[in-house]
This record gives sequence, structure tokens and C-alpha cells, in this order.
Amino acid sequence: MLSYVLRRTLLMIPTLLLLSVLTFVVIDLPPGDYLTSYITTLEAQGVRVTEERVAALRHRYALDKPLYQRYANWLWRIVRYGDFGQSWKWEKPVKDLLLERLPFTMVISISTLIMTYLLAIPIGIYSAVNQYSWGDYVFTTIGFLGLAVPSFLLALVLMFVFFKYFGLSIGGLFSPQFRDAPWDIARFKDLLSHLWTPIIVVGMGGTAKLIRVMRSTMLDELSKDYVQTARSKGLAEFFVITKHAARVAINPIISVVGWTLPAIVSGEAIVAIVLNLPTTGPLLLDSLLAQDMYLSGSFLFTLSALTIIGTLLSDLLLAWIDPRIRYDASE
Amino acid sequence: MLSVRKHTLLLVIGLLLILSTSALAMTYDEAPMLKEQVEAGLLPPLEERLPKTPLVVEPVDKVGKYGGTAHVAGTRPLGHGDDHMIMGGEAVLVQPTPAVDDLVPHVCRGFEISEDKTTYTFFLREGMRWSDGHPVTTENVKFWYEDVMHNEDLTPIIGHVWRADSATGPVVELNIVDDYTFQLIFASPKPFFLNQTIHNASGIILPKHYLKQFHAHYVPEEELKAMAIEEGYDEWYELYENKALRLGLSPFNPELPTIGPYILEEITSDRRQWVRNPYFWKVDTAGNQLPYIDRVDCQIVSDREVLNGMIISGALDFAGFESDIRDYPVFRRYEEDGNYRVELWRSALNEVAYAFNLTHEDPVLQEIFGDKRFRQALSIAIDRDEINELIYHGQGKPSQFTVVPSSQYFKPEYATAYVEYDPDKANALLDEMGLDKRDSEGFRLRPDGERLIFTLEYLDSETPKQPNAELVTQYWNEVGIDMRTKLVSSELQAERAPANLMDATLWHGDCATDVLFPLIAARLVPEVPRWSEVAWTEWARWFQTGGDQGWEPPAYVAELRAWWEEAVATPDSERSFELCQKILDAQAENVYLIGTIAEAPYPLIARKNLKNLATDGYWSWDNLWLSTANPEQLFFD
Repeated sequence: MLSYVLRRTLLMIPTLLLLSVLTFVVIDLPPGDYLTSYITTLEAQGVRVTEERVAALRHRYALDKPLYQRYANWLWRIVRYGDFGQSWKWEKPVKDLLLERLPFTMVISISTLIMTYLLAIPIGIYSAVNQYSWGDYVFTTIGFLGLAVPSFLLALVLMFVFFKYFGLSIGGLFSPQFRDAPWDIARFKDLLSHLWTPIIVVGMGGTAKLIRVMRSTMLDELSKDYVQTARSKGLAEFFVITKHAARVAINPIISVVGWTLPAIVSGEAIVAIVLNLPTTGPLLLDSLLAQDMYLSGSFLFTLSALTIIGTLLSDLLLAWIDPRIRYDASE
Repeated sequence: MLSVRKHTLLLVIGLLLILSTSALAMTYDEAPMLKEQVEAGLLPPLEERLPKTPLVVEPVDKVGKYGGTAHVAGTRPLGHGDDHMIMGGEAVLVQPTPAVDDLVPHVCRGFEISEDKTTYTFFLREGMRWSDGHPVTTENVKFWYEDVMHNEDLTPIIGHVWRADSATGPVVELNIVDDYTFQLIFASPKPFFLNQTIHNASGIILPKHYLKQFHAHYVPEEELKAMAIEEGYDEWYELYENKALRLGLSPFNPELPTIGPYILEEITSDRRQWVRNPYFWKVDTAGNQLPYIDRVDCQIVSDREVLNGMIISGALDFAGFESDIRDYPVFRRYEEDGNYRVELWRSALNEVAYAFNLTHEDPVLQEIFGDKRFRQALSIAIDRDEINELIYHGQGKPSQFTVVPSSQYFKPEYATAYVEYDPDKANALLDEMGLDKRDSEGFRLRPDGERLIFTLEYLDSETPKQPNAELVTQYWNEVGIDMRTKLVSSELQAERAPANLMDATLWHGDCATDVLFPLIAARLVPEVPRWSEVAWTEWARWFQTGGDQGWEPPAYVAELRAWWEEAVATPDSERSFELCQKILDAQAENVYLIGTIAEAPYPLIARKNLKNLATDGYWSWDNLWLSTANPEQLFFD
């Protein structure tokens, strides 16, 4: 087992390297570079940029040097100093930018995740056990609605409802009077009252999907022989479902649980833009649009790294939960 | 340019006024929050903080009162937001008047221009101080000249603003007369230099006492390099630029001393907080030190729609930078609930202006686009009154592209040239130029028998361009022109336009006030190949490269260019005026750029009790939006 983990970890290094090259090349592929997008955004507001300024910026950002050289610089900086360099658009170290936005991103993603699992798994099991019952139809309908409604639309509707009927301020995670306040009970309550919208919006689609997955795998399991055996032994139905069927049926969910790792960090870009949340999602989108090389490169690189680590974690988790996989691996 | 003789006269009057006011020894007053600090011994008394001759601002309505925080928003972390709009402090040496008909001293208390337009003398305000109390002297200008402009890492290319006659001409010389007087001397006449300083000289006075600790001239390079690496950079000049980052007089680095009205207290990725500068050098007519408002709190939001949501929910005290006339009905609807008012200013742009590629690679299209009857016909095929009704609630003015009506070069016939909606006459003109054959669908055929099809590629930003393009496509279809439209990304446009790959495009007609015309005349004359111009890319390239690349222009274009080159270089302002009129005459006759609506309404949102905001004005980069109307005088009543 240990050698397996070690081998997988070592394999991650070339994968990450390859990913970083790919990320850098892809970011550089669209026409133009950071400066063209910088100039056109400024000129869209009527501001004209002199050739003097453009030349100074080109020199400063080393855009006059070839791509491989910029890539080498960036990689060297990560290896040598352990940081990701500077964001051009924000004039700040990439590290600081990410750290500034990560806490709220994680609060939202983790609470959403918890809500998603807490709701989806029991509902999925219930729907499968009581297939074609009244309750199953209700949950299925809600589930399909959740899958079908675009999250940004839901965000707009909820924002309007919360503003119109509950008097919550539009956008952001705090009411204006609490934005500066030190942490206390009132500010925490204010945060909680604003957290609802993003959690519902972000969680809705995921919950609906998980309900469907859980329901269908559960249905497969329920018709299998070992379930019949357990029942015929006289085991209570509750234990048949929780200890036997559900434990196997949850495998597909566990095998992708590691992928939520990058999701926790990346945040939902579109929803966050609509709701004006200070999370990392809009930052990533914006950096890609502006061709802010180091910010977007470092961001995508971090996300890829987390995906790879997440996959490893999923595999280990799966082996831990499902003895069959464990036995396969040891053979 | 804004007439120069008027300037010298004004200067004399200005100096007299200054002498008389200082002789009268005005008594000054300050904000309560500063009084407290003075009493606590944290600040020197007001008399020591103000220059001998503060700039006196005539209030729009009345002398205001101190206090309050202005809540505003923006969408750019390091770009203009509404905080910059209401703080002002964009221009440095001189600034245009709100009516954009003259240039007046700003940071400098006066200026002098030599008869031959080569020597510009500026007088700084004696006793003026940086926000940390350090005096402002010509030493700060010298630092810019020697250590920034003449440093190859900070300024790899010295731009044409600082050179006589062209982009390769000799660089300006700086002559320091005394602590408060400096001269900029050009090798040949530079009649429009003052206009150029408005947008390009914000870095001419720099806080040397702070910035030198990051400059390789004052600190060993290895030491700086270590510092740069520590902060995530590779080279010292990257760190320097980060520390020196500002917009106009407003810094983005809280440590950078400023001469602007507000000091940056805190900046995060979603917020900028400003507090009054106790050393600010403007006072109102009663001698109260400006600004009136204590603090400015600017939230950086993810999107313009979020900003609009904040406006209608009444969360903002002022909004304007991101305004769009399309949102006007919504703003009005929630005026009472949101406790704000909407003021309609005027845009200094021709809202949407169409251009055809006169240097098209396809000889047939080149000939069609190059025929002025084609452009005239398409111009009169546009129903501008309908556009005005549908998009601008009837509040704009149908107009050909030309300078704004307040310009000294303006003539009413420039604005009315080929704007009368007359599809019959348009059809007749098109028939007359040989496009009289049509296919079964009623579209006109080119002389080679193919259908005349071309694509209008454009960006939809700032002014309402998409609805305009949809209407115009329809009008042109009606006279048998098959134009297709395609929205493109700015990166694509920036690549395709200079490469001469586009048939036609649209953009707003800008640089139409006396601040920028004829200084930037790219909309009227082939200047340099640019992403927003398609009319004459190859000719512009020819001029730019001195005939090495591009196409040799026909005689009428060469003449047009010669007028412009002389107009911006001659010290004879009458001759310059005459040449500018010729350029505008040429546009009115040839409609190189087909304009639609001018002086369109531009909505500004203000809290009901926010006073001293002018009810009318030009909203444009040319005169730096609200900034030149001295917004330090805004106050909460």
C-alpha cells in the first residue's frame, strides 16, 4: 500500500510539469497578449494609451521576451522562492490575491458541499427505496428542476426575493454596516443571512445530480442477490439498506469526491459574479479574459494540482471503504 | 488649441488676482476632523499646510459643509471607478474648464508660453506640500525628468509628447529656474503641448523623497533586486513601478505621498478607502479648505450589473463612470425608493460612427468604399431620428461626425452634413455610381456581377453599439446593401484592424473636443494604424513608416495629412485654425466616418442631498469626466 502511494505521488511530478506547460501555452494561444487587452479595455472607456506607456509596460512585463523564457522564469520562481510571481492586472503577488479570497471561497464551497451531501444521499436512498412513490416523484421533479434551471438565473431571482421581501443588501457577503465591523455575533449573523443565497444556488445543481446518481446506483444494488440474502436472514430493513446496499451504492460518489477539492478552491465563477461574492471564481475568469499570464497560469496550475491530489485521495478513500478494491490492489 | 493669446492674457489677470488675494490675506478654515488632529498635535496648523496661493474654487451652488462618507463603486481593481470621478485630481499642471473652452492652471499657479511656442514656463505653488508634509518643489520635477523619463528601464521609449515635431524628434529640455519655477523647452514649436499635458503629464511631479528608495540611481541595484524578489518581482523597475502606481493624482499604493484631494487608506481586491488629504491646496470662496467630504469608500464589484443593482437599491451616493443610457428608464423608476436623483449630462462622443476600409485588399470593394457618393448615400440612408427616439429617448442630437458644438472650430453645417434621412436620394446616388443592378432578392450587385456583401466587425462596449448596428443594418438593407454584422472580441479586433483584414467597423467618434482635436485626429486623418480605425490602415502605415511600408496614398489624402501635420506644428494659431477647418470641411464632404447621434444624454446618479454637482456638462475622457469641474466641492446637505 505504501509503495502504491509513493509511486502515485512520484508520478504526479511529471504530470504536473506537463500540465504547467500546457496551461502556459493555452493561455498564450488567443490573439494578442495582456497589453492588447489592457489597451482595449482602457480605450473602451475613452482613455488613450501612449506608445511610451505601452513600451514601458512591455519591457516591465517581459512581454518582449519569448514565451519559453517567461515560462522558465515563472517555474524557477516557484521552485526557488516558492511563490507564483505577480498579477499584472492587480499589481499584487498572486499568492496574496489568492489568500485574500480563499477563506470566503472555502466557507461557501464547504458549506455547500456539506449541504449537498446531507441532502442528496438520504433523499437518493429514500427515492430508490420508495421508487415511484409520491415522495419519489416530488424529489425527482425538484431534482430535474435543479438540474435544468441555470444557476445564474436562480441567483438573480433569489437576490431579488431576498432584497424585496427580506431587505438584504444586493451582492456581497455583508450588509454595508457590517463590512468594516470587527467579528462579533451580529456580524456573524449578518454573514449567515447572506450565505444562504450562494449556498442554495451553488448547491442546487450539485444536489440534484447527486440525488439522481444515488437513486440509480441504489436501485441497481437493491435488486442484487446479497440484499435478498440479507433480508432472508431476517435483518431489519433499515440495516439492509444502510449497512449493505447504501455502502456499495455510494462508491460512484466516493470515487469523484476528490474532484471536489479543486471545486472548493475555484468557486463558482458565474454565480459569484452575479452575486458579487469575493471569491476566487471571478478572479480566475477575469484573469483569463485579461490574459493576466501569471495569475491565470498559477491559478490553473493550482487547480490541476488539486485535481491530481484529489484523484489520489479518492482512490485511497475508495480502497478504505470498499474492501473488494483493497484486496485487488494487494494481489 | 484653446487660443493661446487668451492664455497669456488670463495669466496676467490670474497673477494679478493671486497678488490681490494674498494681499487681502484670506482667513482659512478646515474640517472638524483635521481641527481635532491639529489640537492633538498630530498636524501642523492649517496656515502651514496650505500653499501661499491656494486654488480658489467657485462653488457650483453654494459654500458647502464638512463631513460624511461618500459610498461609491467601481468594477476595476486598478482602474477608474466612481471614487476617482468624485475625488477629481486627474490633471496635473493645467486642466480644461468644464465647458471645455479653455485651459486653466491646476497644480501650477500659472504658466507662460513663449511667442514661438517652444518654451513653456510653469510656476508651482509656493508652500504646497505632499500628503506627508514634505514640500513640493521643482526637485520633484527634476526627479521625473532625470530619473524616470531618462531612465531606459522605466521609459524604454520617450513618446512624442516629450519630443519636438515627431516621434523621433529631439527630446524636451528641462530648465529649473528656481524652487518653484521650471521651463520645458522644445527644439521646435509645440503649440498644443499644454493640451497634451492634460492626459500625459500626471507623472511630471513625483514624490522623490519616497520613490528614491526604490530607484537604482539612489540605491545599489543588488539591494533593490533582493527587495524586488522579496515582493514577487524579478527586476528593480518592476518594484518601482508598483510603488509608483497611480491614476492622475490618486495613488494605488497607500504609502505613496500624493498631492491629490484624498489619501488612500486601504486597498484590497474588493475595496478602496480614501480619507481627506490634510495638505490639499484648494479652498472655496469663503476660505474653507477642500474637499468637504471626509471619506470616500469605493467597493469593487464584479460586474456593471451588480453596480446597477446597488444604484437602484439606493446603496450608492454617486455613480457615473459605468453609466449607460440603456439603463436610464430603470434608474428613473427607482429614484424615489433609492433616494437618489438622475442628472443628464452630455456625452462628448458621436455615439456610434461607421467607417469603411478605403484601403481594402479587394480592388472592387476598394473602389466602392473609396467613392464618396457611396458613403454619402449610406449616411443619408440612416434614420437618425428613429435611432434617437429608440435608444436615446429623443434626447440626443442627430449629427454627422465632427467636433462638438462648443469647439471653436465648429460650424453648424458640419453637424448637418448628409444627415437628412432620404432613402430615395440614397438609392439615386448608389444607382448613379454604377451599383444600379440588383439580384432577385433586391440586393445591389458589384460591377463584376457578384452581390455586394461585406461584414461589419465591431465591439459592443461603452456606448450602445449593438442596437445602433442592428438599426443601421436594416436601413442599409432597405437601400439594397447586404451588410452582415459580427460582434468580435477586443483581442480579435486589435489583431484584425491593423492587419487590414476588415471591411468595415464602428466605434464611437471620440477626440472631438478642443482638448484633443486636432492633437489626435485619427478619426479624420490617416495618423497611425490603430485597432479602432479601419478607414485608412495602409495609408496610415505609409505615413508612420515614412513610406517604407503600407500604400502610397492618393493626392487628396496626402494633402489632408499635410494640413494636419502643419496644423499641429505651426506657432501661427490663425494658420492652424484655418487648416483645422479644412480638415473638418473634408470630413463634412467626404464623410470618412459616418456619425449618428451626438451630445447624447449621459446619466449621472447622485444622492438627493449631494450638492454642488453641476446639472449639465460634457462627460468624456477629453475633459476628464467630472474631474475638471472640481468635484472636491461636492458635499452632503
